Amino acid sequence: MKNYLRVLVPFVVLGLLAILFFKIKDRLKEKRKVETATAILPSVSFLSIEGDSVSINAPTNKIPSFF
Amino acid sequence: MTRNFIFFAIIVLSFETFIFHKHFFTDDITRGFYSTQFSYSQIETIISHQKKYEWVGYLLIPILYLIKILLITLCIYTGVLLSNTTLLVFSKIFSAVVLADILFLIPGVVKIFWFSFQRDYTLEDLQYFMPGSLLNLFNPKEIEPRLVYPLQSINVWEVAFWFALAYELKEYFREDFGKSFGTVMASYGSGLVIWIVFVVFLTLNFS
Repeated sequence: MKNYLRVLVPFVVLGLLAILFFKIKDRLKEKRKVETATAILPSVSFLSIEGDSVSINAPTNKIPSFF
Repeated sequence: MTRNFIFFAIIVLSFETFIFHKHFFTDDITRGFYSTQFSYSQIETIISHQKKYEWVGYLLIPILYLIKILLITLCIYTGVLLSNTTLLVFSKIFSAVVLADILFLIPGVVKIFWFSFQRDYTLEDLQYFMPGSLLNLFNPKEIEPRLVYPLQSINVWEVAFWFALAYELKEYFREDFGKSFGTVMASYGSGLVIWIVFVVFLTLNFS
């Protein structure tokens, strides 16, 4: 049992890290694509239903804080 | 004894949260932070919601604290189980983790003292600041958002936690500090790396 766990635990740890690594890589690739696409968009602005100004150039909350 | 330490940690954490809510995360700071993104009425709604659900934050403190301690204990228990040592009881590791975790209360207190003497600061400064962390070597506003949490997590308190934990568990490794430290690093270290990578993944998805 112990020997079985000795193989299984590192395998699970490395597997989890690999999955997360590839997910992060994919997401970064996707973000770069979006950045390249939005760089050529002209500056436009809209009004929300409440009448507030909404702009694609408006700064957004840069860092989501989890902890 | 362990119960007293848990109670102490929860009281200190609640006190730190209370001080931050009342003295640092003021309405003006929140308004300043959201002013470029939302209208005045939207910001007021956010503030009123924050006030309305403030109690949820306090309720979550003991729950999250116990979950954190249990997860760390589980990581180390797995490491001990797989190392060639006498099998430790879960409660003994739990007590060692609770005791060593007291170290993580210090940065919160340092943060309170630090911002007590600061005149101008923003909500971002409060979020980014982590005393004794690698993030202090960089300008947080200039680095990639996904790197903030990993750089915050690598800090002197974390290293002190590893050493304290290894020291407390040393007696179960026939007083061999090296072996104890190795087991802590392999078990807790792996868990910490997974956690940090997971938070980076979440940050990327929500930013």
